[in-house]
Amino acid sequence: MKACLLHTTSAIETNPLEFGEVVTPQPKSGEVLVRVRACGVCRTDLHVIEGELPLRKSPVIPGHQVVGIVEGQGENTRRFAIGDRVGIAWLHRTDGTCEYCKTNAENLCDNPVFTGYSVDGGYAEYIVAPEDFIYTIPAEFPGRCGSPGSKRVDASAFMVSEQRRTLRFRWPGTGMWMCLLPLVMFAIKNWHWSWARCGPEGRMMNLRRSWTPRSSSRRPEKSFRRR
Amino acid sequence: MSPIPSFSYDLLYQERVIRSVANNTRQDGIDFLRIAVEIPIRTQVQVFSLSEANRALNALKNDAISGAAVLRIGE
Repeated sequence: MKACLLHTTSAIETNPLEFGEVVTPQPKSGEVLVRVRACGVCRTDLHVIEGELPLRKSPVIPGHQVVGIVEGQGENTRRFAIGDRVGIAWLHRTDGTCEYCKTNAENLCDNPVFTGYSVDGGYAEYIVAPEDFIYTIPAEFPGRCGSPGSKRVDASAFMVSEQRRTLRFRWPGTGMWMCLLPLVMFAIKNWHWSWARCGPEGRMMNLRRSWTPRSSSRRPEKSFRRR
Repeated sequence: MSPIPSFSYDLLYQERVIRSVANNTRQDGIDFLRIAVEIPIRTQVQVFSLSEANRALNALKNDAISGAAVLRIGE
């Protein structure tokens, strides 16, 4: 399969990913094989590529905002059928045994495995992941599962993660959906929803550009200003 | 990591809250996807091919992406 490989960490300008052919992964017990339709490009990918996160695997295929179609299943799988549209996020799996996992806080797991960092990610034609950590993409999103038209939906799904970064301070919380949830709930319950292109949303977009942490030492020259 | 730049306080006035989280739980993701359907969410993306991943990453690094950069892979 075609994939982008990271071998060593350095600035992306001088350390481009290698685009080439690699062996297509095979799902192990409890895993599914997903044909990648789209993968978001996250700033955490830059953190990985540029070494702000110490490299855990080399070479590694980056990418942790994956939408794709289930094409294969390992043994002991039950959740998905071939052709299902699914999402794969940063949290590839957890140990399930630490105190955090036992108390519904698996996001803080003592021994997490991360997609596109500890294990190969979605900058590739195929990816494997534990079915227990895979999301079903709701059918209500436009486009039919597996249809060519759904690519647009696949791509759209990842704007979620980028919007999340609008108000994200923390690092390395790179799960693709969750940082947005409190913001969504807060906005709905309290005042206007502000993801339109003008007005408050415009300010938020501006905010994102000012606040988004760079992977290098460079910083935005201008400070945030209201439109 | 770079410092958090300053911004106008009126963006936080009226008891608005910004909080950080560590990754997300699976239930968080499930809950969010359900809410995403109800809102619904409109997205803005800039699409690249897999072979253009380096171009997308450079663009992201230089704030040249409006919305999210997404690699479209396969047919």
